[in-house]
Amino acid sequence: MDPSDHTGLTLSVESLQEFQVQEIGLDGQETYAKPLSMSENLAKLAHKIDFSEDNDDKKGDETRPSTSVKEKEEKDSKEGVGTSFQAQQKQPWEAVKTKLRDALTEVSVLYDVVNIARMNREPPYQYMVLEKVSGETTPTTNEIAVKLLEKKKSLEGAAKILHAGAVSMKHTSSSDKKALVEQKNFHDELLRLRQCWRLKRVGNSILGDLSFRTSGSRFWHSGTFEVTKTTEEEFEAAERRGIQPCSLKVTVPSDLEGTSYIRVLIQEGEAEIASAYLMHSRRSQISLDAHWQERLEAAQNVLFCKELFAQLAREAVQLKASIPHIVVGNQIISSIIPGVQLVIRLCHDANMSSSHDVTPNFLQAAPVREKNANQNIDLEQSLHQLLRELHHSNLNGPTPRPVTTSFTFNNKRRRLAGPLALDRREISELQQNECVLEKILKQSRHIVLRDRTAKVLDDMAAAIQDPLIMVHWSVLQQPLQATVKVFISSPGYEHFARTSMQLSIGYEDIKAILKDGRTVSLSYQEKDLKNLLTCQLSEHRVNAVFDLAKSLRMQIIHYNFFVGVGPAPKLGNSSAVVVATPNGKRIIAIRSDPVEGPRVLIQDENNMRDKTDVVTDSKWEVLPSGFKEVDMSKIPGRNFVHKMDLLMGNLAHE
Amino acid sequence: MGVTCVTQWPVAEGKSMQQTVDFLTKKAEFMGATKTGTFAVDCDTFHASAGNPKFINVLHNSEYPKTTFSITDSNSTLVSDTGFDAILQKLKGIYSTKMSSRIESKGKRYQLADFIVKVGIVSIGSSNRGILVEVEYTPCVILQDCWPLLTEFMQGFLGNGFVPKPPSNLVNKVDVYQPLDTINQYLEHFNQFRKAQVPTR
Repeated sequence: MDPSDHTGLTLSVESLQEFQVQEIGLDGQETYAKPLSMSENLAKLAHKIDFSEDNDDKKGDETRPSTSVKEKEEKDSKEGVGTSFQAQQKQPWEAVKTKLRDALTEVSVLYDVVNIARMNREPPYQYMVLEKVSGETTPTTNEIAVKLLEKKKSLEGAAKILHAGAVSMKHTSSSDKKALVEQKNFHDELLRLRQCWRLKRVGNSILGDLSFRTSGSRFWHSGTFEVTKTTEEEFEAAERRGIQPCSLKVTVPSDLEGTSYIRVLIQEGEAEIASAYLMHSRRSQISLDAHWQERLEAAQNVLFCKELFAQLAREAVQLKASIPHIVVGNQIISSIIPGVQLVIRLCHDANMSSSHDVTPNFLQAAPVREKNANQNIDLEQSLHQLLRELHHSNLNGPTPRPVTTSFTFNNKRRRLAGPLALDRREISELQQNECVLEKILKQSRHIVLRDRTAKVLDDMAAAIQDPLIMVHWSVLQQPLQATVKVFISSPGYEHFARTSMQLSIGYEDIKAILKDGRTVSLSYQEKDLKNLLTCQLSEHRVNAVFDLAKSLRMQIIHYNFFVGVGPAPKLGNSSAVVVATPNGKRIIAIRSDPVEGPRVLIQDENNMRDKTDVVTDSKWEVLPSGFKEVDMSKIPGRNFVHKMDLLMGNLAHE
Repeated sequence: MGVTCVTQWPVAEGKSMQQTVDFLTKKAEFMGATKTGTFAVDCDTFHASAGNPKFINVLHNSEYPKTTFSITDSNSTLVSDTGFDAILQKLKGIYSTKMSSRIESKGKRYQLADFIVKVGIVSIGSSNRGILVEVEYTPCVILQDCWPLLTEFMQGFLGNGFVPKPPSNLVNKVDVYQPLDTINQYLEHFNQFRKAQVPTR
């Protein structure tokens, strides 16, 4: 029919005669029968089927409602119309048969209706719907047809309900009323969920809230999760895998799934000084099959870590530092003190393995964690605490004054800045708020300082036996402050000389308060503390000898910590004490150099000088000569003070 | 906040006011002071409506940015938040001011260790009236304890001939020095400038 056909041939196609010719007039005019409507056509088709033939098997066939309805329809039209020539010919008792059949049908339908009415007390409520069938069939036939259809439908409905009932009964008896229990469990679980988490109903779904918004968080993530009922299949699947099934299912947003933690590392070059994890140790892995409580907690932890990291990253970008903080991906690197870095890393493990895979992973992770002996709980705690504090401060501002004002200062002092006439410096101090990252930086700086101090003290205490260094750490420590007392004493002579020193370790420097009240500020460099201790040791020796000499009733001729004469020491000051024996015959000089160690010299009194003619007086015979050094290694004794004790004792009784 | 001395400084002969100020600031810089921004002290006088001789002097000092100082004719004082200005605006019917009567001292602020030096030109409207030099010694709040030191510093700065007298109302003050005391000194000088004839140049 395509006019643009490439063959160039024009074919005209005419449809066949669709309508039947009713009559042909004398003039040859054809009158067509009106085309049959759908229902008429159906009825016509139905005539061609012998209803009585397959009547029996159709009655019990309820699984195919669509076909049966059709057939019923066919049936009634066939019987009602009664104009079929086939029926008229074949069944002379058709009318009687129809009547009888109708009666039977009515009785059975009535029976079903009663049944339905009884069954109908529980949902789903199903009602029979009477529908008027529109059609061009005659009203009488239509009525019968409708009735039959109606009955057919009610039959179907009844059958359905019966079937559902039977199935449910079967199920109940077979699985120990599990379904009922399940339904009840769901509500129990929901109640329990509601006790721990915030839930709300939106439409037909139940939504929960994981976010920290109620506690003051301003993080963008909504942290919504959905609560649903476990389907039967899932229930059975869980049972099959040997997991305790739960009738309640929570769906957590995909980006909150898995586990995450924040790792804080303090690195010196490649070596790790301290590290902290922000996570639950027992939730190093969370599986999809875990109980909802665990899953929700894990998800909330993920949310918390995300928020914390976002906050830290924002601060790191904003903060101005001499060495700028670097934020790369999930990592913030900032320099605490030269050579030492603070690394904050957000680790997220989105892998939601099923419970069977958990064990190997966990075992794998365990040694890594145990290896970290220098794990620092302080940092971990602080991070947690600091974000909570931030939340708290977001939420709990001070009461505005007057209470009707909408705008308020977050600080009473700030509010009173005007009336108190605070100057610019004081106001700018008020406005300086420390952010979380700054606090963490301070803390980590303190940790580094503390660790270094401890290391130096331990090393020196181990290396130096004479005199002894004793270190007492204060048990109570603050995040930014630690104190340590250092005692230097010689065993056996503790009551003579005891040099004490207090080190207070902050985050910027170490303050050392010495025995004589001097305060020395030490930098982060280990060398400083080492030098200070070396000088203190040297002073201690002289001090101990001084005390000893006093107790031995020696005469103190000279006692000085800062000797200005003699070779200059490489470090600090030489200290010296010069004592004379009680009889005045001998003079002992001790000079202690911080680096070289102590030197002991004795003045020899036995100067046997020849008598001359000029000097005749005998008193000149005992003129002291020069000092001679004592080889201390040859003198017995446990330590320097002991040796000196023996030496002085000997000389005193000569 | 510390003890402050505000003093007038005569314009040197043959020099303009700005030249004198430049000379002083140069001197401060030469002494090792560093410039730390600018400062401004202003004073508005609110007169009560017709027939009533009462008035309020409202002063602001940039050193105390959140504060408004108010001193009435009967010498009662109020130190308040800057919000007080807005309240005064509401009281237009009772107390009114003219913008032309506003007197202020503006200039640069220098810091030398514990001393803050401010050299400002006093102006009413657009006409300059004179020079005020303010020196503050920050660590001390008792006038008697640090006046000699302050005097010595000012002599070093302004010349040996200069002998600053302690403000009359502060001579016998044993109490802690208040920001209001500085404001009182300024007000005293402002009043003097107002009364004085407009300088010829």
